[in-house]
Amino acid sequence: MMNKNNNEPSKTIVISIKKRDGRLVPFDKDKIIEAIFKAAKSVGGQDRYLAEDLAEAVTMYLNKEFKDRIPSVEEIQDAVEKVLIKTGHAKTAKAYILYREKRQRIRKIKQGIQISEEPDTLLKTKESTDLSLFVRTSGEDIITWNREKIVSSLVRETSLDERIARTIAVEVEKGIFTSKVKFLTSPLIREMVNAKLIELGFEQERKKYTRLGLPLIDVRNIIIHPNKENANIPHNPEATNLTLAENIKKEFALLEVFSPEVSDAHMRGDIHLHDLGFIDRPYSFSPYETIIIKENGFINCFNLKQFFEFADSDVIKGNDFEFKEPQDIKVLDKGGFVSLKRVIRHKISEPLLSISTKNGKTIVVTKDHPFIRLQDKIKCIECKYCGNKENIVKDGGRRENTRIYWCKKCGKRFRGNIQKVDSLIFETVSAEKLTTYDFILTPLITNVACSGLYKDEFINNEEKAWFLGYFIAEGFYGKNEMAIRSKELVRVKNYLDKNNIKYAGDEERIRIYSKSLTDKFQQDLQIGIYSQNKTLPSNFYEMEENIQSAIISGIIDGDGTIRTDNYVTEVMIRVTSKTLLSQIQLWLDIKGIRNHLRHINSYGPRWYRGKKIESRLPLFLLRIYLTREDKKYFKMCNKINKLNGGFKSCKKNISHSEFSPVFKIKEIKNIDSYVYDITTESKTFICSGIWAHNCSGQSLEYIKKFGLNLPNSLSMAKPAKHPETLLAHMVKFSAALQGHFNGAIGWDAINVFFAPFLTGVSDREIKQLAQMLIYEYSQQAVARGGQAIFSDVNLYWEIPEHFVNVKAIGPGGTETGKVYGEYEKESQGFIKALFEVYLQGDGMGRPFFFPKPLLHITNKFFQTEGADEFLELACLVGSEKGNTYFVFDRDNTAKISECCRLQFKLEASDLEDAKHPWKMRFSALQNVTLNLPRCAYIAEHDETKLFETMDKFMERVVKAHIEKRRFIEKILALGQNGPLALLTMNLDGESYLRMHRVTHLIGLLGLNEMVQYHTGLQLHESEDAFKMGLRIISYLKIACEKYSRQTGLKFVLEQTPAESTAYRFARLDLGHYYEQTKEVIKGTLSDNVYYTNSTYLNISENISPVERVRKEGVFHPLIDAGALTHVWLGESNPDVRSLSDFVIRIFRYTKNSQVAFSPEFTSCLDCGKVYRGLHSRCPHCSAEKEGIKILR
Amino acid sequence: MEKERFVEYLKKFSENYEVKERMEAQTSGIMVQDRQFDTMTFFSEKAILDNNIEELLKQTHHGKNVEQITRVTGYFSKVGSWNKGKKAELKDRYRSNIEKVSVQ
Repeated sequence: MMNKNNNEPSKTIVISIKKRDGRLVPFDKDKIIEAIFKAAKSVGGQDRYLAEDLAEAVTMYLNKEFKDRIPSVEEIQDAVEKVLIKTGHAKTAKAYILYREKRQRIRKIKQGIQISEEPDTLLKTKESTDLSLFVRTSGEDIITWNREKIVSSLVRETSLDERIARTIAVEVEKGIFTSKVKFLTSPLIREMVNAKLIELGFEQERKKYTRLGLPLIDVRNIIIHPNKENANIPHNPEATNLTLAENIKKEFALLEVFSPEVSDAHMRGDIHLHDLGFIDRPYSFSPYETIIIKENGFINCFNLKQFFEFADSDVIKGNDFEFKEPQDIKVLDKGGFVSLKRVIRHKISEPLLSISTKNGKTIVVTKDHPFIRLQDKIKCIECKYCGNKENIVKDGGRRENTRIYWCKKCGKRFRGNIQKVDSLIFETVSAEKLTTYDFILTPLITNVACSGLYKDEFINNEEKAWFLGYFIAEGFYGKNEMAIRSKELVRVKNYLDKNNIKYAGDEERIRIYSKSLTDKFQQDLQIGIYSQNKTLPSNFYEMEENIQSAIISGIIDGDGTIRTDNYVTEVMIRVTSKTLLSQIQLWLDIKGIRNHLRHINSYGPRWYRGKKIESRLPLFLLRIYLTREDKKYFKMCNKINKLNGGFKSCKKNISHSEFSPVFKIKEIKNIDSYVYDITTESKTFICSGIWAHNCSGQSLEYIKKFGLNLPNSLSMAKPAKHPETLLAHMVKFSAALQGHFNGAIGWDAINVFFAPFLTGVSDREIKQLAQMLIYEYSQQAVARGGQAIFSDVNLYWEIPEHFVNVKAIGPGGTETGKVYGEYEKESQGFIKALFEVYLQGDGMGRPFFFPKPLLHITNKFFQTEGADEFLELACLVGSEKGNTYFVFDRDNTAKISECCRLQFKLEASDLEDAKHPWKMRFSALQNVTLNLPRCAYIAEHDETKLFETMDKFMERVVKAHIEKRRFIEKILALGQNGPLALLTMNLDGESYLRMHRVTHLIGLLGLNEMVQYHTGLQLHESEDAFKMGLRIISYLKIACEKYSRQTGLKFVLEQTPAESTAYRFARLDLGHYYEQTKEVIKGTLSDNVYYTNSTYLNISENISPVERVRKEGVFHPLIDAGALTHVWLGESNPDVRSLSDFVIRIFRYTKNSQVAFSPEFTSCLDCGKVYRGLHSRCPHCSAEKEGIKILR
Repeated sequence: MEKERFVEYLKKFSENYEVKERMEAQTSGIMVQDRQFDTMTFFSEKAILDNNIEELLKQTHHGKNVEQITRVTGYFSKVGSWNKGKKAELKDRYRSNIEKVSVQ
């Protein structure tokens, strides 16, 4: 049928085709070729020429069939199918047909059309055979299959349109039913939905719906096999927790903290984002929850949204949150008014929970909001019905020696003897974990009294007040007027007539045209009238009592209903404004009138005056119970007055217990897009009558003390009285800090700062103190994932110049009257003692891993008496045990060192801080490392391209830093309520973490291999190669300065320790750039590979230590965040004198900033001996004993 | 300790040890294979009697029960827990000594 040798394309008669939307476009044969080829490939075909021939056949067919009209896309596709089938390419035809169908379905879904009747009929069949499908949820629950759960979660998590979500759910359901599976898990369902989302092209949504976690096999391996990435992590349950959690946080960071561009760069291996992740969600309240504010002595009750809007201060904006820090505002807490620091709001799209207590308090919060609950553990009470002994709660009804108990298990109540409560258990649980009959705290409102001093000029009599109240209930604002809609307008009309206020209207509705009145109501009294925004007028609580009563009476006449039964008369106010009810509740509480506020059915219809009303907003109900005496408040209230005979007084039986059981928990829509939170100095406050707190702490200690702070361990402003206590504080604080930072915690000049505590202390005691310090740090293998506390101590033989004249702080946190310069003797005694302990090593004679001692060598060092002798001691320690780091502070540059090499060069402003040494706190915010060798591979020996590639990588690095910083700022803004509360504590006028001083690190890796690839020679092999290396680093340093200027942030170069990064980059490069990498990579392929770290010379080269220190030192001044040279000693044990001469020469004749001497040890676990050098066997234990022979 | 008790003990931990009777240089005794340390050791009957259980078990280690410690990047740790790249680098490290050189 086809002539294969016919290479002439047929004359095209068909010139244009009609697209689905009606447009005419030119006919393009290539598109047909592509479509056929794709279909053929999917079934294993490879011949493109064949596809071309087939397309030619299609064209010929089209030319014949559509001589006089324009074909549509569908018709062309039909033609392709026909040709394929007719020419015997059945498989390809099938693939093509299926693909067409899929595209059609996707089109239909995107248009919101239901696909077909199929799924529903399938369901019907299943239902009739009584198939029930069970799902194991991630909440450790088993529920029956419910398609709607997929729909609601999709809408909630991805904001997908509900119809589309339903269609997807139907498709997934179809897939599940056809597979006949009986037992599902929700992770599995989620994955199936994700697959559907990909198939239909909803990539953005899929990203939001994705589940983070690890495959089963990875988890198994993590638990069973030790972690090799970080040599500091031991193998124990804490450590595996750390690894597992970090994996998930890493995924989170790559999805949400960093942009796709940055994440991709990390995954590819262009850059390395260190220490991914730190995250916690903020808890918050619905905008309509109320707090009691005292400002300028005036009391007001606002909801959080109003308060945020009225608060008099600038708004500070974050990524999707905002906060204000108004001054001089107090908020009511359990013990009285405390100062309010901050109010914050952020966007949220999830539903909230409403929690109601038995004594009538209701609060609406986010699901993870923490509550303190009290559980009575009552032993020795057995349920009379089911015999259960657990979960019995008290339920009132005291009579003589008995009371009523409620059995949570069987639900029945019974009377039993009064038992002493065995123990009170306080715990913090999140809102969604609360259950009914958990007790939470609803403090009695004391400390709030209405002064009656506020006299509003307008509301100067009870009639007006009543009118105001009525308007709040029944009125609303029109364009230029106020209106009231109600059936009982007689009294209103009387009032208006009496006061000569113009109005118009009929039986049911009145319009009031009075600008002054409108203004008065809206602006002065700030009465918001729009359903859920209804509130009492501002300053209500300061008005006179009769005015207040009248206003409330008006509200009751408007919105209230009265109901009387055999026992009591209830006044009920049912509205959508929780705020209004909370405000009224406050007044009732102050007056001692019994009341009860709860959330009622929000989505159901209700009947009002014969009409059915669908309420889309959540409804709240306030019930008021009056005694005869209480009636005096409501003289102005028609409805209550009408009740004369039928009024049943309630018994004044208000419970005095502040704890009340939860009796209803319900999910509730958030009608506003924000949730709110406030920070108080006490970390707690009363919100909607419930005692709320924002501390994320969960320790029993905190709870027992009802809101006292975290252990305020060590602040330099208030040290302990005795050196041992100071030491304990320091260690504990290090452990706490370790949980908040990655990397090491470094302490500056500790021997100097301890000195005032050591006057008159004997040498023996000083030695003991030194031992305590070193052993405490070394053995705390329980902090952060089971690691030892990664810590450094900076030590000085002399008193550093910038501390000499600073007033010394001693025991009890008070000034001793001397300056630090006068404590040289004590300071030196301590540093000597420390080094002696290091020299001995641990119980087995091994070196102490932590803390690392960093000895600062300065000009002043050499001018201080005893320096030579001390230097020899330090060198002895370095040679014997390898602990000593030598830090060279030339030319009066002061540095604080930590984390192997990270330094903070102190600028003039920092040295000003030296006068208040406790202010000297520095931190790096993040390290992102550049893959330098890769830049060379991409450039392929082209110098311009080399620098261009470095520029591109740098841009991504800077972007990553900015993204991370934004994220951290967001969390820090939560202040004492957030997960980084420790870092925001403010005891000296600044938060602990001083964000304006943090540095952003740009790490270097593989300079040697980069230069090696680019020039052909390694750094040590030629002058030119070395110079190239210098050029590159200088270029990067200048780039750092440029970005620092542009962004206002501090970017500095750092020699990344790169424990795992050197390995990671090496392997990734072998994967992506195999040919180039194998030329320069170190180690042995394919797995035991690495790059030379940072700016080091090749570590295997026979370069004398002097040369190496000098040459590597040339780079050091360019690397502001710190650089280090290693001298590997192996087995050798250099002479102490040689070593100290060497150190002196390094200081005087090179620019090297830090040197560490590293011996090697082998320690035998059987006999306890320690040898120099790395041995695979212990010489002592591998000797044969008599009668025992080593066979293999 | 007595030979029977020793054998009994080893058999209890059969995932670590394998025991066989054996003759070595005209002496009778047992051969113990230690799976953890990948060793085979011959114990003469006299040797078993002369030593307690800790000693005997230690002998199966052949001195391999050691930890190697040196600086990984900036801090000291056990080589056994290093990743492959770092272990490879360790092999390559050039170790030097500091000789006394005249001050320039």
